[in-house]
Amino acid sequence: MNEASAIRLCLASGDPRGFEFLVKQYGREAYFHALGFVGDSSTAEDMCQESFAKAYANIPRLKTLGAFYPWFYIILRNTCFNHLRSLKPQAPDHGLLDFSTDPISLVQGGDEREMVWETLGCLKPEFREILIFKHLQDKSYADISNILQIPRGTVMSRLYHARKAFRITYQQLEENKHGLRTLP
Amino acid sequence: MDCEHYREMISGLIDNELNAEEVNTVNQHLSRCTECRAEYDFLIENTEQLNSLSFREPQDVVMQNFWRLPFSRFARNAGLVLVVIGYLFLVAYGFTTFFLDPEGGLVGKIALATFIIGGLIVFGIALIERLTTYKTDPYKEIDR
Repeated sequence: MNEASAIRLCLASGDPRGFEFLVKQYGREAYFHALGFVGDSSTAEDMCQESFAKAYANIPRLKTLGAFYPWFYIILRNTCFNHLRSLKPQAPDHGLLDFSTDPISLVQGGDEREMVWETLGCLKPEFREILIFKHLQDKSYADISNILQIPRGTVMSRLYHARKAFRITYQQLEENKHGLRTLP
Repeated sequence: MDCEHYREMISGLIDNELNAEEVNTVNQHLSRCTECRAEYDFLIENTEQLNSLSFREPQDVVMQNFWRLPFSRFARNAGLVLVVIGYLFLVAYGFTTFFLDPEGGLVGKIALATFIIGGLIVFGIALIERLTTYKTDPYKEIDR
């Protein structure tokens, strides 16, 4: 079974086996996107479940066979943002970061990685989103352009401004933390 | 082209997303402009910081739940809707047939009034929280 035949199966008879294929195909990617938005693994799971349920109910609206993920991503993104709008701003959970690949950096670079993660949590959603695509998911500009439905030039421009915002926010957080540490 | 446009292209250069002609153009500008050169160094540093992050792989059971649970979620939401509808019917029924009855018992009326006031408090708090968070909502622009 491929993506197009899975979608055809859903459309033709509402057969959940077709949709199950799509969930298996894109579940991991969706989970990481949701995690990047909400910063909490259990909420990310909830967001994915809700989004897949919405997608299944609305799959007759999918216009192009073989282009499931960009369509699904809009559902996932809106579901995450609807959840976030009901919460007060907060830094993401540091426990989600994988420090296991480099044991040395657990001691030497752990603090910095936590700061990087905290900084991401403070950025505008569209900046956080594109930085996660690029740096945590290693997507090409073409992939990002396809998923977000924006021109490639906009991807490049947004990434630049996101990195600039990241730098400014990181410096501010660092100054705040440094200020707190030097208090008597 | 101004420096701002070159800086956007520098971002593309760092990500290896420019064609040969664009690479050449940006490199020529970098050799002349010290400010953009400094920006290039900053962007390299930021990119390395961001590349140091990675997520933990989710367990298989998490993936399986994505498709198993939509139905229970639907049942939960349907249950919630039924509870709210039932509450409204009970309040309307109690108010019209019992609360307004001058011969009704005082204890029953107090119980019904408590039931209604409790519901109003819960609804009011939810409404106030929603209005409070809306003022500082960074996601206002996103379609529901």
